[in-house]
Order: sequence, then C-alpha cells, then structure tokens
Amino acid sequence: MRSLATSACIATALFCYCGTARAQDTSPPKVCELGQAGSFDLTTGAEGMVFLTGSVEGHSGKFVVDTGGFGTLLSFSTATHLGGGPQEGPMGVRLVGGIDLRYGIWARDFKIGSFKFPASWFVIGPDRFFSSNAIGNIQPHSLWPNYDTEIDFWKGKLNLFLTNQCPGHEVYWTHDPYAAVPMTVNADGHITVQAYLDGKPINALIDTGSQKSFLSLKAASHIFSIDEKTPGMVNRGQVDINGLVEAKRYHYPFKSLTFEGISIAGPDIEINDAGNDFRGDEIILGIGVLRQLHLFIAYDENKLYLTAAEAH
Amino acid sequence: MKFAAFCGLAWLVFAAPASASGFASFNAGILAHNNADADGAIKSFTLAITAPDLAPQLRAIAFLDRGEAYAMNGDFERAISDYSSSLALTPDDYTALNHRGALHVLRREYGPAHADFVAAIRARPELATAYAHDGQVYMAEQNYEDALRLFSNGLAASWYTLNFYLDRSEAYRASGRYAEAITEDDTALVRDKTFAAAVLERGRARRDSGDLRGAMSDFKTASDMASDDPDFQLALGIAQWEGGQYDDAIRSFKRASGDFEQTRYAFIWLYLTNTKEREPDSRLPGKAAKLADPKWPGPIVGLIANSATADQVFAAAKESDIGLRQCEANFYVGEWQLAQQNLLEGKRLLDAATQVCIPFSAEFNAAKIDLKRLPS
Repeated sequence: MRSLATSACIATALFCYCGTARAQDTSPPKVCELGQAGSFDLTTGAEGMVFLTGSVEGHSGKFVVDTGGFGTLLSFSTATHLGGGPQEGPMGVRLVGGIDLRYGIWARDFKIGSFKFPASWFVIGPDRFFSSNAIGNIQPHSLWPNYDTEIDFWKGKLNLFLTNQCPGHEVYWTHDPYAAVPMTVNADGHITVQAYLDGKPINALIDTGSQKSFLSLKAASHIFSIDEKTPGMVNRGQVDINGLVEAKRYHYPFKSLTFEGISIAGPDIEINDAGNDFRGDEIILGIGVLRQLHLFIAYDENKLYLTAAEAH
Repeated sequence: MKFAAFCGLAWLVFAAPASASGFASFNAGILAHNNADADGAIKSFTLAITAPDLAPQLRAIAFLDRGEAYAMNGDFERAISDYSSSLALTPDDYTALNHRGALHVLRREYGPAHADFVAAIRARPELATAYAHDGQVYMAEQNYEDALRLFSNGLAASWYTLNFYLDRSEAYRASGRYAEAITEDDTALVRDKTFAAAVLERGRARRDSGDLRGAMSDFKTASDMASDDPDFQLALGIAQWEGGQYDDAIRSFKRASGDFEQTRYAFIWLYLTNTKEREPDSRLPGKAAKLADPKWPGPIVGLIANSATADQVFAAAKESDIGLRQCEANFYVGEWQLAQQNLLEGKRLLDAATQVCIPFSAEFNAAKIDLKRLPS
C-alpha cells in the first residue's frame, strides 16, 4: 500500500492540498499516514458480489461482504454442522421483502483471515439467500466497529484502518478527483448517503450485499413522477428478492447517478414493486453500481469517500 | 477539501464502455449476466477475458458467467469449454463443477458428469445439490444401488432436504422394490405432512406395483394438496391418460394449462389426449398458434398449430444437443403422427422414444403404454 504522503499530493503545485511540501523537495515530509489495521483479499462471485474467506468452527468458506446486512448470518446448511443447536434469538432480522429470520446459533470459533473473534452469534438464513454458495454474510462495521473500511473492487481488497488518523486525507490511492459525501449510519450500521439520480436528490443505501440496485415504484413515482406507463419504462417481469419474495420488476433508462463530483453514466437501476415492504431508503445501491467505485467508509468522520474503481 | 470542489470543474463521468479496461468490461458482463442478457454477457466477458489486465480470479468468474450465457443460448460445447477454463483457474469451484456436470448429463456423457459431481461433493460436502445430481446420473445409467448410495449420503449430509427421500423412493421403484419405495415416501410425509410431492411419488410407486386404485387416490390427493401448482395437475392428467381416463385427463390438463400460457407441456398433452376423443376440439390448433415460439417445446406446439413440421421439431431437438429433447421429439411427434392416423410412423417414433428416453420418465412410460394399446 502506498502511504498517504506519497500519494495524496497532486503533482501540480497549484492543487497540492497536502500541506507544506515544496516543489524542490525530493522526499516530501509525511503529513499523515493512515494506520492500517488489516488487509483482506476479496474474491468475486458469479453475480459480482464480493466475499471474504473465513471459517466457523472449522467450516471454511466464503462470506458475502454485505454493508446492507445485519451483523453476521450463517447459511442453514453450515449451521446444521456446528456443535451447538439453533435457538430463537432475542431479536429477529427483517430482510428486504419483509421476511423475518428469528433463529440463530452461537459459534465458538470464528475467523476472517487472521482475525479471530470470540463466541459469535449468527442469525441463520436459508441457503438460497446466500450468493454463490457462500456460507454466510458479514456486515464489516458490525465485525470491526472501531475501524474505517476501504473496499477496492478493482484490486480485490478490503482494508481496515484506524480511525481519526488523517481526517480529509483518506483517499491515498489516487490523485484523481474524488467525492467526500456526508453519510448517516444507523444503529444497524447501514450507510445512507445523498446521491443525485438524474439531478434529483435521493437517499441511497450503500448495500454491497444486494445484487442489483433498485428503488421502489412508490419512490419512483414520488420523486420522478414515473409509473408503469411512463415512456422508456420497460417491464422486466418478476424478480426474486433475497430468494424469498417476488416483486414486479421494471427498468427505466436513468441517465446519471452522481455523488458530488463523481458520476456514473447510465446506471443500471431497477424499479421494483413488492408492495410497501421496502426499507426507508429511497434507493438501494447494489453491487452492479458499487463495483464501478472505490469506497472508503470513514465512520469517524461520517463520510464516504469515493473515486472511480480504477483510479490510481 | 475534495479536489472537485477545489477546481470547480472536475466532474468525472464514467460508465463501463465495452472498449474500456478488462475490469470495466467485466463489470459490464456482470450487469448483463444479472439481467439474464446472454448475448450482452458473452460480448462483455469476451472483451474482459481477452484483456491482459484482468485479475486471474475475475477471469475465472468471467469464464464461468460466459459459460452460463453460452448454455442459455444452447451452445453447450462452448459452455463446457468455458467452465473448464474457469475450473483451470479455480479447480474447486462448486458452482462451475455442478454447471459443467449438468451439461455433461444433458449430453449423456455420464463418466465426466460423475467426475464433476464427485469433485463438487469433495469441495462442499455439506451441500445437497451435487449428491442429488450424481445420484440422478446413476439413475439414468440404471445403476440403482449406487443411486441409492448417493441419495443416502446426501440425506446424511443434508438431513433437512426431504427430496432425498423421494429420490430414494424413485430408485427403489425403478428396482422393483415397491414396498421400500412407499416407506420412503411415508417417512417424508411423517416429517412434513404437507409434502405433496411425496404423495405424488407414492402414487407412482403404487401404480408400478399394480395398485392402480391406491395410485389414483394418491395422484388426486397430491393434486388437491398443490392445487395451485400446474405440475401436479399435469402429473394427475398423465396418470389418468395412462389409465385411459381421457375425459378426466382433459380436465386435469385444462387445469394445468390454465390460460394456455402457463404450461405448454400441459397444452401439448391436452391436445394429444383430445385427439383420442370421438369429437376432438377443433379450436386447439388455433390456440396453439398463440403459444408457438422458438423456445423448446415451442416447435412441438408449432407442429400442433400447423406452423412447424415434424422435421423442424427434430431439427430443433438436435440443435440443442439435449438428449431429453430428442426423447420428447420422438414421443410427442409420434403421438402427433398417431393423431394424424399415420399409425406406422407413430409406432416407429414411440418405439424410438422407448430407446432414447430415460427409463421411468413420463414420456418413456407413456410411449410403452401406448405401444401396448396400438394394434400390432
């Protein structure tokens, strides 16, 4: 990993924003260096989802990195092979589509990469909920609440950083333009930012666990005055949400999705109608869109930094 | 402060153009794959695969997804080649092994299919799918002992997958061990009394054991338990057809085919049964015209609608390289020939169906039954 000091300075003196380095200096002083706490290889599945490799009580496999998930989930097929028995949890998990998961299991030994966790509670989900035969889902912030998280889809890395190290200087990997978007993080660790879809402000959930990006027909109607009969709206039949709920599925040719200075042209966003059972966010940004970005989630600053995926 | 705000101009607009980097092409392929756009996926993943900068792990996924797209288009040779390329990069990938194995089954390449499913079981012994697939390959080979072994191993690994009881029932039934078959179905029903498929499978075991009254009772019960599922109405109709109860079968096929768009197989059976009646419904060919499309079994529907020929049906079956379709083409065209009063050609094709269809499949059973009914 390049240090912030060597990467954050833009080559032209005019736009150098990293402090006191002079043009004639051969080795600019280090203004700030992010303290990396961990680095993991990300693998990619057939639907574009990303995974971390880990194990639960000796059962190794892939865990979906799910920023829109709830804590730690385990597939039914894996849970049935653990030592303990499933039990009803103190709190259920409500998935998109309105399905409740109420049972879970304690695992004595849980590892992600070199990180070992004490006895962990996993909510149990049906196997079909887990992409590419993953054995579970993890929400990074629930596992590592004291670290900032970087997701580099291009290089296939998930990196953890100590917080409060370099406020405003997190984008160490490129001199290219980046966006620093204020975010809110709710009690479940879910990240919502304001984006602009075709120029209109919209609250967007950052959900790496969602295969697709979508907004509800209700939100589309409210914000964009789009309904089933709007020109350009294409009926794509039914969609299976989380392998659990059927929803009517439409496609509308949105032109752009913008986060401050960073914009994605022609984002692939579906409009789904599954009744009134979607979460509060107006749009859910799934992996198809997010893969085109490089994300740095600075929980300490409540900011999401992002660049183009291949910016370097 | 972010750079864009500093400069006041640096709005970066990017998408994933097909001519971009390997990573951008890969992302475009993922979008096409997730939208079931086979042609788009093939185009984008081909660009990604040929790009020198694509990471090996993403290259493995690109081959896997492009293989799936080729399979969707019926190009199994290219699909198998891509799955092999994917597996060369990630040898233990459960999905790729199962996909390639399934295509080998369709091509009746049972040896390579076994090898893939065994490797898949080794990679993920706790998952049910590969046990079921491998057992079904043994069923196709009429090796019922090994099929039973695989289904039992599957049940041991995945005790909650009740379909393994039904698979074992089928294997016992195929071996002529009807009492054991019925015991399997009953065990499944003890664990889930709403399991309509177990009642249906028990009906088949009773039918094959000669208990036709018990069988029909089970078929009707299963049909009532799953009254919204066209497949159960179709299964009841076929059982009634096999018993020569054509009026009852027609009612079942009508329920199964609904508005004639839900289940084309049910419509085909409805037509074929109808032709055995004294006063066939002359409106059916006209209705078939609305259902005929190139996607299998569309060409058979086209035959009924007089918009396709028997040769075109066989050509479509051969084109797909699926043995299952060759079975269906022989059986359904054979029955259609009988409906056209072409007795010799009909018998010849039904006889061919008994040779190429998987034993105990619906078409295999029906072909044998109708051959017995026809004058020699």
